[in-house]
Amino acid sequence: MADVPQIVRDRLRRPAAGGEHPDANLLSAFAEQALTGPEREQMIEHLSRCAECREVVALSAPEVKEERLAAAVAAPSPGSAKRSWWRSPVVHWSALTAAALVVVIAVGERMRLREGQSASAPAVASYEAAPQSSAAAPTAAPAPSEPTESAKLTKAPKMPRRASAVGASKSINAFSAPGKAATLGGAPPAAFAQNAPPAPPPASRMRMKPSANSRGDMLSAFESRSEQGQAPAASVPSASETVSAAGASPATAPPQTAIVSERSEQPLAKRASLTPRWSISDSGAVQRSFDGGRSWKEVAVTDGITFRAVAVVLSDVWAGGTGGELFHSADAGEHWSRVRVEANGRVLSGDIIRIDFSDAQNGVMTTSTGETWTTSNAGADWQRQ
Amino acid sequence: MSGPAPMPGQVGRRIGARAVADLYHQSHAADFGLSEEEFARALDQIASKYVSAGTRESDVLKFLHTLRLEELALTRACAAGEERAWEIFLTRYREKLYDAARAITREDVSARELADSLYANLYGTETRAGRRPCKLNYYTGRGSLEGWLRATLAQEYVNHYRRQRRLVSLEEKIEDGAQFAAADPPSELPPHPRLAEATDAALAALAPEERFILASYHLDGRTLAEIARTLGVHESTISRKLERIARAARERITDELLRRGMSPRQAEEALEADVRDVGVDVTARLAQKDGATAFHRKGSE
Repeated sequence: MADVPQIVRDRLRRPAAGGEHPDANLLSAFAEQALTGPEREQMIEHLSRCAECREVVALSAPEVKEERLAAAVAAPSPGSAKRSWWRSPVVHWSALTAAALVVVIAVGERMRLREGQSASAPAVASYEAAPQSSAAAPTAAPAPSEPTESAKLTKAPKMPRRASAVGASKSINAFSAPGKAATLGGAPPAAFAQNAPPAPPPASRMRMKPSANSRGDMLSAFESRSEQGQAPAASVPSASETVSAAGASPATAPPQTAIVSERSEQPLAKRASLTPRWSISDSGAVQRSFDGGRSWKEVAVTDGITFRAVAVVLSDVWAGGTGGELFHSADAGEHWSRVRVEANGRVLSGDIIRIDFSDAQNGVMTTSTGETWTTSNAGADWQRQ
Repeated sequence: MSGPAPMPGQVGRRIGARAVADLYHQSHAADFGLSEEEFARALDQIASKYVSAGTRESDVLKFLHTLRLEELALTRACAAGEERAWEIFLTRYREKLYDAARAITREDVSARELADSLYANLYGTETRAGRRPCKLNYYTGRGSLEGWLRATLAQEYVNHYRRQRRLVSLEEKIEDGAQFAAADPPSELPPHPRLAEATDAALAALAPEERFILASYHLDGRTLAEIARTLGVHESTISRKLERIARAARERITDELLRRGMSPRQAEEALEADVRDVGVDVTARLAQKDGATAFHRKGSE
């Protein structure tokens, strides 16, 4: 990229003389390409002279987070040389060589493991013992004529199984909303008018560990479940990443145990990242995230409905919205079916604005008309309260 | 909604009560517990802010249709303390807000502090002149509510960061015994007057977008992809433009220097000499210069 003389940077850097800064409305509208032509021109004119507003626009961009991290390290810093030492071809080739070496070692190790598994029994013992041995990889490993049961299971994708672990539910909207406060000018509802910082932790996190927050909560929850012998996360979308089914005992299902053993070697953080998070998008679509909420992808449920609430219990996902429409997926959002909510000939009215499932069987729904509906058999029957 | 017909506000008089009712219906404001009168008042406020008095009725209506009506209704209902609205707001935005804060601060504790401070403003927990203003009232529906929340978080962060940086700098200076040190020498010599004038003239000749691209890349260290995304164009477009702008700026400065009596060789030397004297930490200067005052007005929002 062509450099510019230092004097250009110096003169560009001079702060703009006075003038109002655009507010968050215009800055966000600019970032979303929602300004009119003249407004956009004014905005760019301001941004071209205001480093602070440029920074706000950059920080509030939704999709540049990872790039920003890279940019903080990699981008040519102002006033510095454009080509850093690590951009040199020597470093690039060294990195490539190192990466290739890692791949070779990994492949060799895997082949060696396979050989060890096919040659000895039981599979669990041979697999677990293998990593303890030397890392020297054989140059060639003859493929077994018939794969063992363990190898088959390792290769074969498995859909996540449903489990009915009570207390492992995860409801996005489980937080109790504030009551209407009889206070001045839009004062906060009573539940929030506390001295403590008013923001509650996300509901899903509260369910796992009320006092903690962030990624650590999920890890703690996983650790806790692992200690209790439960499946770490049943609502895993990728079949190949499926962990296990709750209740599978080593004595009755040794091959599966082998898989569990393999998976348990994975870092907890990776397992946590495989657990999808669910929410409702601005446009009222159901969406999920597999990277802890950094990016979201809409899930196709049905057309013509604005969703307002979603709840998750392991691989069971419930989504409700306008017109009292309720949808259920038993396989972590892969397939959906419409659920008709009625009792004694009376159907649910209004929009579904809240769904809570304490476990796979028991759930509560609230509608915009103030109705409350409950189920105690996984949505097969509903009762109006 | 039953009850008395809403008073025709400014917008109602300009576009008609029926159009207001249509907008009200589109916004689902009733679901959030917001009355048509309250909704019309919000439209009044927004129209008076963005639409000039002489604008035609059809253009006003067209503008109002560009607003994020549902999100606008949601925020106003939250500001009015409606329980259902808060419930929906929390369902849709609570996690996103924390995620956005984490993306900005890149650290959990700071992210929580940042998000909590914004929540406090959103809930209106602070009392000012006997009132508890709710920041959600400032959302106008020009962009998405999520984008507004992110931009507001970013503003809070930039304000806080700059304040903190100033404080830390002062403390560090005192700890380092800077108060006993001799006065700092001038950090740089002022540029040659003719060179500065020529550069200013060259930069003034650039289009605002060209200046924006130049500043984003060379001052802020943004990547081509980031700039491209901000402007809604392809990365390669920015790459080509940057090359062209840099070349044109250099040529223009040279021309200006020649017009100011320099010989071609002197002009070239002036530019090259300036390039060699890059003893200035541009990033530091950029970060410290007038940052806090520049955002003072924003903080009052």
